[in-house]
Amino acid sequence: MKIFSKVSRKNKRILKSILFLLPVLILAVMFFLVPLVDLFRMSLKDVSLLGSDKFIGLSNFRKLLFNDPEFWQSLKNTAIYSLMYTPPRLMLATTLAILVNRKIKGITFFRTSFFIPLSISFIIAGYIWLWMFNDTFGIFNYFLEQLGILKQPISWFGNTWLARSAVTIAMVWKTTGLIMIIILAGLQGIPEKLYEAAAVDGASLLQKHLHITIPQLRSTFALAIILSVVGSLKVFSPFYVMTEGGPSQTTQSIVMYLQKMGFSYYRLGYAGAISIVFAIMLLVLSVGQFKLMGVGKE
Amino acid sequence: MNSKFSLKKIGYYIVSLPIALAFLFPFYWAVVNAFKPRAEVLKYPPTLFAKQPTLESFINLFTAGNGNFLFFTRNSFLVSIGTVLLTGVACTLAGYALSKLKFPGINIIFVLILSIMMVPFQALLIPLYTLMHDLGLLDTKVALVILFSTFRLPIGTFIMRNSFASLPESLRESAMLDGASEVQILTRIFMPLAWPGLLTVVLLAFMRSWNNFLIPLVFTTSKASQTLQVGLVTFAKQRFYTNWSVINAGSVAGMIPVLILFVFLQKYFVRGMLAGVSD
Repeated sequence: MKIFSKVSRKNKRILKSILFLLPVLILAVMFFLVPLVDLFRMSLKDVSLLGSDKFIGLSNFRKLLFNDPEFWQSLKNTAIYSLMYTPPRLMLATTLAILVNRKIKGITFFRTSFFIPLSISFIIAGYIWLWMFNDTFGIFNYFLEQLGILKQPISWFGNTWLARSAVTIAMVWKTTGLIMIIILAGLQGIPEKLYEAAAVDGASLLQKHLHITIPQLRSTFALAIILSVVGSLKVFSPFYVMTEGGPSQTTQSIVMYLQKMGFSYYRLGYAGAISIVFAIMLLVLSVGQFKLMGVGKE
Repeated sequence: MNSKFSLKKIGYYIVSLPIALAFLFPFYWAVVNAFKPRAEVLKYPPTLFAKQPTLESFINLFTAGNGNFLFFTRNSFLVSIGTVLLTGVACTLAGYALSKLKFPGINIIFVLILSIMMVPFQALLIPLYTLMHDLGLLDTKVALVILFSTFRLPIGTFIMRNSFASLPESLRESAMLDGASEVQILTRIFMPLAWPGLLTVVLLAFMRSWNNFLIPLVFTTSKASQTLQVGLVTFAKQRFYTNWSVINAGSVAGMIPVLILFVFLQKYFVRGMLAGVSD
């Protein structure tokens, strides 16, 4: 009798637990697992909204990887953006983190200023900067003229590299705050006595940062780099708003190409294949990211 | 000693202040241009202050096309609040179960939830589109709430599980002896202690659903369900020329809700972003 009640209490607990988990499980299964499995099925088919639904094996992947210059161009555009975006973002974030890592009057103001662009949308950030980069009325050209860097206003979005630079500048502004707080958290984890010991040895400020801060932050930097690369590979809205992929598709990102194939041309099977290639690329990076973050650890 | 200290301080401000002002300038510029009359917006060299501030752009923004922008704003609020409710409830319940109602094998469920983070939502747009099509949910606000919530689950559950895990088991046991039900224990005993975690989760959920563009772009087509971000883009792209006064006003109007939350609850934003870092 006693054993029976014990077992039933245990079962009741499991039942309660599952009831509590139900909302999350329903969402996760219906809107994550099912579509994930469906993605693989679709990528092996010639699916379009017009009704065709033919099994074609790996044809989509074969075409995508060996016979689709636009896909490779998008991949290249995204990789270039990633390389342009990651280093300045990291350097700026490190500088800002060092600046705000102290107790001084007005620190909240500085911290908020660097962090606040994170809260607005990529669309709004894109439009704010698109307007500042406007070739005829833009304040950016005006400042550069005043500083004597430009003789006359230039068209930022008529040239591939200028367009990429404009988006990079806008996005570094928008997202540096995130890396700043990660590095700040890392900085605050460095034991104070390391700096004290260095001070006793008469180290300069630069030496302290070079020999203590940077080596101590190695895994923080690794995380920041992965995050930046992941973020830039997923880029969509800023280019969609600021360059629309132009000039002549040299700033079209992978997600833009995926969205175009899927929802402008309705080639769902083919867009599914693009999705899988894209997801695999990111999976490798994400594994590293979560290892560094220690997600899932007790 | 004292003078050296203050000299250092002044040096600090000389470096920091210009950078901070440069970071704030784009906000200033959007606001100033939103309050300029149309003729002054299209002037070169640009005027650094609004010489004759006017609400003209905001009136145009909200009245153009039968007040479409009001619709978009309302939809954004409804969708974001819906996401906050669904994410908040689902993650609280799951976090509680994962931390206080453990049973052998429950970690498999946790791993399943976390694995959502391993696949970028962009890669699932295609199958989700056909799924929403089959469910008859295309072009509805419900679809947006479901999708935003689903992709907030891993980090939300993670944060809530940690919030509950930091609270002692004995709280639950003593309440049980008093005959409280599980729901009562959760809402009356644990939530008063775990609310900072929940606030972090729902703030991030609000911000992400308010700001997201790609999901409403793909899943909605009519003004009954399109959000503010999509509305802004439609505004900018529908004409032969871009009406910059209206775009600036729309940008300002569109960032006010998140900015207000952000300024007052920054601590929780920072906490949430550190827990679930992503762009």
